[in-house]
Amino acid sequence: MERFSVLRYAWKELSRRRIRTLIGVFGYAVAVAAVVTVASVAKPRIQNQANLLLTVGTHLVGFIPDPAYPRDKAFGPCAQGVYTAMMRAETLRRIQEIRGVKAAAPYILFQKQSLRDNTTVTLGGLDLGNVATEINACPPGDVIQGRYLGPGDTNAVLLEESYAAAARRGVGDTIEAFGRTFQVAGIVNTNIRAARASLYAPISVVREILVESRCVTAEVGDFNVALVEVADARRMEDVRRSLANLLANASIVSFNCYAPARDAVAATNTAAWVVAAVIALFVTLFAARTQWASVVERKRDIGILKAVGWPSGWVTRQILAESVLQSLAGGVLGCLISFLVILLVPSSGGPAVPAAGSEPIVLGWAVLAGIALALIGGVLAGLLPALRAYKLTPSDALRRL
Amino acid sequence: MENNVVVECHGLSKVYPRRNGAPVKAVDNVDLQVRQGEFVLIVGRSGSGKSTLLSLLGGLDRPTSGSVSLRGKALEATSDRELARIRMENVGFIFQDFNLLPAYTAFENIEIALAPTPLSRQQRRERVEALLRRFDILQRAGHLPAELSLGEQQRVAVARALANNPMLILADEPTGGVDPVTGKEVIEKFAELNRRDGVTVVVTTHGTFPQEAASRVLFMKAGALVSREVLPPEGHSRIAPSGGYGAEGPPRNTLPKV
Repeated sequence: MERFSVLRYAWKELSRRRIRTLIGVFGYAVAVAAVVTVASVAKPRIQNQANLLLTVGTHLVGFIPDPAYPRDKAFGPCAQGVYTAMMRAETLRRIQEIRGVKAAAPYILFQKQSLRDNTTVTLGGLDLGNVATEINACPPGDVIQGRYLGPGDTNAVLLEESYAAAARRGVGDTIEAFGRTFQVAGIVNTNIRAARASLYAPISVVREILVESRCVTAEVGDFNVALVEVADARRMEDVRRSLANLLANASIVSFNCYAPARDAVAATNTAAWVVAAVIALFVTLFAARTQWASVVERKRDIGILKAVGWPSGWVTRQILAESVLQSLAGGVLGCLISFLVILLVPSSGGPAVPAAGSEPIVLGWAVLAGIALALIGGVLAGLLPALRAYKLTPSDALRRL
Repeated sequence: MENNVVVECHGLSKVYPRRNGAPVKAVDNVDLQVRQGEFVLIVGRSGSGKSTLLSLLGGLDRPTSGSVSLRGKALEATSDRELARIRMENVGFIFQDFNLLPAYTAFENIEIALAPTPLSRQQRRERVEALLRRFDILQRAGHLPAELSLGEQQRVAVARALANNPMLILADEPTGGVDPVTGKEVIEKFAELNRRDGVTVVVTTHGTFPQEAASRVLFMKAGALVSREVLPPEGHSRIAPSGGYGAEGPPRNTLPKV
């Protein structure tokens, strides 16, 4: 009985103040439409862009320069043009345990300088099948001729395209390097990868060559460059710091050129939600103001209801019901507006746009979120006015000024 | 306490604090006892505290000091919810200008008084229609207050006050602001309620209400009852001047008790 009466009289009050009610409903509709549209259209696109950017620029290369390495030696482990110290297998295990590290691979980069023509040839030892190796050094996708290396390739190498051209070698040819004769299995173009070399061979082979050269001692599992792939671009800085702490005096090289774009996408994402939140906030404040004005205007009516025996709780619930009914109607209308916007406004193309078949639609959770937002807004907007109505004594409400 | 006392107060005071200036003592140490079947008229100038006294007697407001009891139930000790229930079951209010809800029809204005009761919608409808019929405004049931004459508005207000079959009617300046013809109608209506239904009536007025209609006239000045005068109940043969009708009271209106 009570619920029926309260809802009935709430509906009557809303009908009585039709224009004000419609303005309130429209306000909620705009807020919900903004939220649902942002969630359904912008959010997946922004997320797609972010996902793309979050998976690039996530590689790090760590090595420990060795200033004590004899300068007169023509060969030795190196990285970025400097000789480096060797690291143990245990170090790699600890790198893999760093929070945010997706994969870590051992890499041996070995260089030999020609004293005759002052040229440098580098040999990269690949930990085959490791994601970090593929991203930082040489993946199968970089092969432009021939084939990639397999675990059993103890006598085969890949040649960097520019080096192959200079050495006039092609697939199937043999090449003398680092005291061995290799067969050219493939030509690769590794472009700007952080740990590129002139030749690539399996790491076990390169480690043997390093040991045979007697320039350094190296046990099984030793390496001089750590290739690290970070799980998510947002964790780059954390991983970078952890790696620097782990490897004393290390140089950490990363390709962080995507960070500004990533930050821009994050900013766009945040801005979209901030705009939606600000709209929702203003609508709630506006609705609260309207509802407050309604209570002030109806002070006398509230006094009459209380005088004839309506408990204060009923009056409070009626005010709240009015606010929630408005917000619910606005929520439903907002979802419909959002549906029309998504249906009628053409979407632009581009790599970040979802592929065909996954065009933006009004998302179920977005609709629920929009309705929930409207409901919360309705309750919040009605709370203070309802409280005021609750506290109003019948005599105060009916007192003539 | 005598068991035929409907409402009584002792040492009743109400003080309104003011932000700037001294507090206003609207009701000052009032003692009053109203017995069943009495028609009490409280006369006083504007601002003398009549409306505040009526609010305190009907449980619309709480006193600053003193006590009020309705049918022996102390109002100052009850919760707001309980007070609302006591008002709903025992008191019918009629306000100056009638205070009808402007957006509600005559039917709905009466029905709102029945909303807090456990009556079904059908029972409420029957009760409201009976009241509208009794006051000869059934044909105006669907009209808004603005579409009714002052006399019709006044009848709707009286019907609303009687909706829950109260034992006490409190009317605040019911003839203030209405024309003489409507005022006469109002007076007759209260006399009839008191005479025919035996409802206890307390009416405040600043002088427009004829004193001969009442069984007792009280005068109020600056929040206090300054003198009391018991008038002979001319034309009120069913009113017992010295103490009402006794414990069983006079016959109530013919509507079933809620």
